[in-house]
Amino acid sequence: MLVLCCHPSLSTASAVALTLRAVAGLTTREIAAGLLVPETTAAQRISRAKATLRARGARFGTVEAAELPQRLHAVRHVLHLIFTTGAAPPSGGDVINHDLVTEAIRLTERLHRALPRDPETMGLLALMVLVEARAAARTRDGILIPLAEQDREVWDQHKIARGVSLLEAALPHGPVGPFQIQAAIAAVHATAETLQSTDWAQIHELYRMLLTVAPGPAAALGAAIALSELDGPAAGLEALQPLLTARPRDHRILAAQAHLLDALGSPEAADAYQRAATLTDSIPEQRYLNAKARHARS
Amino acid sequence: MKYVILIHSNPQPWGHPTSDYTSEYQALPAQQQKDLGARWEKVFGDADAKGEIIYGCALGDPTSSRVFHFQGEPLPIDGPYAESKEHLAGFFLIDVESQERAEEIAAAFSCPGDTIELRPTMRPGCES
Repeated sequence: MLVLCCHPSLSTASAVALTLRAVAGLTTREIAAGLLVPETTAAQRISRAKATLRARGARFGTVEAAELPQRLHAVRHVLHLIFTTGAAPPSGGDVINHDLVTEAIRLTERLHRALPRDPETMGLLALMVLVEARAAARTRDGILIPLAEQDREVWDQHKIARGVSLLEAALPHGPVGPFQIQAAIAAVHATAETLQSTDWAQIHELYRMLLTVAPGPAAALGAAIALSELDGPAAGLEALQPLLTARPRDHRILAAQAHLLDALGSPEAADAYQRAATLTDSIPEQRYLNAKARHARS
Repeated sequence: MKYVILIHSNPQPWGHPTSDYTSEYQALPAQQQKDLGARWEKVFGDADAKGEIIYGCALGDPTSSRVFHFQGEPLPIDGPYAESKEHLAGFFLIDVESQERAEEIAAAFSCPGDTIELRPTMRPGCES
C-alpha cells in the first residue's frame, strides 16, 4: 500500500496527501491542517492521485523485485517529507495541527517492521527519532532557539538511545545511504554533552561523505559550518563563499554567513542578518534574524 | 512553498479576465492572443491537475472599495486605495516545490497590459 501511494507517476505533494489518507488513515481535514492547505485542496490532491493511479493501471503487488529499491527510495523520501513538514509546527495555539511527526515516525516504524534488515529504512527511522528527541528544546513560545542555546537537559535520552542503537544496527549492513549519514550527524549532536565538546571533526567528515552520496546545498552548508567550528569562523566563511555565489538568495546560507561575520566582530554582520531575514519565509526565523540584526547594529 | 500571484491591471471598463478589457492586449493580432491564451490554459491546467493551485479570486472594481484611514478612529472614504494607474485585479494562491516552478506558473499569466507580481507567503512554523 505504502509503495503504491508513492508511485512514480505521482507528484510528491500528491504522494504525501495520498499516503496520509490511505496508509496513515488521517481524515482530509487533518491532512489539510497538517499541510496548511485548505481542505478542498487536500481532497483534490487525494482524488486526483487516485485517478492517476487508476489511469496508470497501478495495482497492489505489481512491483517487480528489480524495481523495489527505486520504489523504496521514493517511499522513504515521502515519509521524510511528511516528517519535515510536521517538524515545522504552526505557532498559533488555536490551529488544528495533527502531529505529522508522529504519523511519519509511525509509518516508518511500520516500514521498518516489514523490512527489518533494510539499512536505509533504519537510517531514516534513526534520523527521525534523533531529531524528534531534541524537539522540545528547539522552540519556546514560538521563538526559535539555536542549537548553541538549547537546554540539553530537555533532550529525550530514551529517544536518543533508540536512534543510536538503530543506527548501530544499520551501519554494518552497507552501503551507507544519505539517511544513515544524516542520522549519524544527528547522533553526534545528540550525544554531545555541550556544544563545545561536540565532535566537529566527525561531523565535518560525515557531511563530506553526504556530499559524495547525495550532493546538495544543505550538505555543503553543513560541511562549511562544521569547518568553522573546527578551524574558526574565517575558514567557515571561505568555505561558504562558493555557496553564496551559487545561491545568493538562500536564507540559510546567508544566516550562516551572518553568524560567522558576527563571530568575527565584523560590521557587515548586521546587514547579512537583515538580508537573511528578508529572504526567509518563516515568521519565527524572521523574528529571530531581525532581533540578531538589531543586536549586531547596537 | 506557497506564493501569491498578484495581477495588477487597469482594464477599461473594469472586467475579467482583465486582458479582455486592456487596450494593450486588444491591440495584439488575433493569432498572438490565441497563442497567449493557449499557453495560459496549458500551464494553469497542468498546475491545477497537480494540485498546485490552492485558490484564485477576481476582485471588484477598485472604485467600489472603501478605504479606512486611521485618524484617531477608523475613517472610511471611497476608493480606489492606490493612486497609481494599475490596481490589484485578482490573485491566485499556489503551493509548489520551488521558486523556479512558481516563476514558471507566474510567467504564464504575463501579457501586454497586465503586470504580474509573484510574492512568497510566510509560514508560521520554522525549520528543524
